[in-house]
Amino acid sequence: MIPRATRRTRTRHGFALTEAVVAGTLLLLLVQVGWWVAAVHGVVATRVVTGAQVLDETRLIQHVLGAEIAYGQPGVDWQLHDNELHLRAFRGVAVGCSTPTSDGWAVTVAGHRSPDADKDSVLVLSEDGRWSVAALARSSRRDRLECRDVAGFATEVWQLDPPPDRALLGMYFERGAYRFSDGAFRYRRGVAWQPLTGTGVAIDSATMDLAADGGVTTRMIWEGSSPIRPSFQWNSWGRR
Amino acid sequence: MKHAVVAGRTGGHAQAGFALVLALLALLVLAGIASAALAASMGQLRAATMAGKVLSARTGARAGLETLLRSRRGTPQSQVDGGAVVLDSGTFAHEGTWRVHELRLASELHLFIAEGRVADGVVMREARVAWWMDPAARIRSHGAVVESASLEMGTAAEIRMDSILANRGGTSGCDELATYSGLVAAPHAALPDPPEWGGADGPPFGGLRLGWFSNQMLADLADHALAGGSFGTTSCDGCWLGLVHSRGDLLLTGRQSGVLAVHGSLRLAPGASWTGLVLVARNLALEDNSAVVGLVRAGGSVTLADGSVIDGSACAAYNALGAADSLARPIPLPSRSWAGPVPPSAR
Repeated sequence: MIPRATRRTRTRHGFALTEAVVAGTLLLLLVQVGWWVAAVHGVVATRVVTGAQVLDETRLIQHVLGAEIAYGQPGVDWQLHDNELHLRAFRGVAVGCSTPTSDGWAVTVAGHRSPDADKDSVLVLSEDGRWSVAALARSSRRDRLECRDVAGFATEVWQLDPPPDRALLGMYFERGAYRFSDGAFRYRRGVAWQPLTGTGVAIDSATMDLAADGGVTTRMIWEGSSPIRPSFQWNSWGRR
Repeated sequence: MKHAVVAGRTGGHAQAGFALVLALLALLVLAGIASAALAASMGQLRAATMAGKVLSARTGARAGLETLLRSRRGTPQSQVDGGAVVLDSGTFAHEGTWRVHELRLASELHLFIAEGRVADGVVMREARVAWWMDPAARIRSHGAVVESASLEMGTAAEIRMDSILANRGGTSGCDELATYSGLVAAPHAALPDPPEWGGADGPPFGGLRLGWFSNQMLADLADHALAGGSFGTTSCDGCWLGLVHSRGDLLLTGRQSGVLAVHGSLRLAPGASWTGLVLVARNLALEDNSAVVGLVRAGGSVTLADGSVIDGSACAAYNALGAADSLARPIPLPSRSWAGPVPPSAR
């Protein structure tokens, strides 16, 4: 029994050293593998999030361009100049009321935002079927007006310059411009170009061109790696 | 053997421990990646679903407008300055519904506001301005029995004004016109300004127009489309022919009635007559003993030979327009018809 035990103890010692070396090696390997996996995880997670962001921002640009030229006519309401889209950005409509008012044109209004006399003009439809442009000099809410009841429309009185003759309908708009610059899709009303997206667009990769059938062809490439293809191209058209 | 088994088991347990740790780490990492991918894809799915519903609803609204413009026939029944009325409705795709409201802005201008919705989603709206011919408004646009660039009359020729609103044999009443003051005030006047006549609204309206119907539209909508030549008796003698359109010069030999639109010159042979409305791009010539009962508009000259007569009748022209069913339809206002943006609404 005793000699057996002694041999066993010696054997255990030998194994302990070998095990320690093996264990150390395995631990190092484990740490390396763990480090590598964590790095891969970080890269993959970043790519997934970047891909999602690319999709979100591309969808946003598509939506904005499509919505902005939807009610405009090429050459009249929007033009492309030096890779910039200059346009009348329509923000809402106004239907004339039957109530005659001494201080302006009574209308019932709805839009993506309220009319703003500081920045809006109005495209006015007259009784002869012609459209003309007038500046919105003043707009004020007015509750007691006899107007057609349309869901979501509110009554106002507008002062237009020049005053409209037999006006029936109005579309109010602001003047603005869109372009890609410094890696972002930007909008300008006035002086400053405000970014609408992050700055991930590859420099000089984005263009806006006139499509053959009167729309806008947009091409763009996103920087950075993502699981989706980074280049996009699509056409936006107005209502036809 | 016993020791080997024991040692093997001991070693086996140690390896299993490492494998477990490695497996757990790998699982953690994979779970992390999967959860990031899941969160991103869920976000994308939500955004895409919402965008898809909005797009479907908007497309449904536009489809409703298109359906209405393609299928609606008859004259408008709504009142100017009246409230919004539901003109048409329908379904599309899976659980999609649309309906179109009409606002009559003026006698012939209408605003159609279409709503589209998918299931319980957002109600998207699209609006379009349409021109919808109103016979009374068309007649009101005439300031004289004959409107032309020039007028030449033979010695025994005549333009009558005495029964402009009187009912004639075979025509129904035109009491609607009696309420208009200043209707057809003279035997002859110069041509009216666009959009009643003339090409200031673009090339399609250069030669011949009826309100916002261009020459090409009139040709497309004609009940009798002629290439020119002569036009005599038909199987419809004595009844309203509807819209008759000629792409070239026309010689009229029979006695007919309706709306006659000629993209060229028109000549009425001796004894021929036309009852209703006559629109001619160039010259109109009435030969001996020929007659027009109704109203005339010609881009060139109107020449009346001896014994010919233009018997001014607003009622005849009104009834001719009313009987031209192919013209009783809304069309998108040619210059600009889409109006918007109209924000979504709660139904």
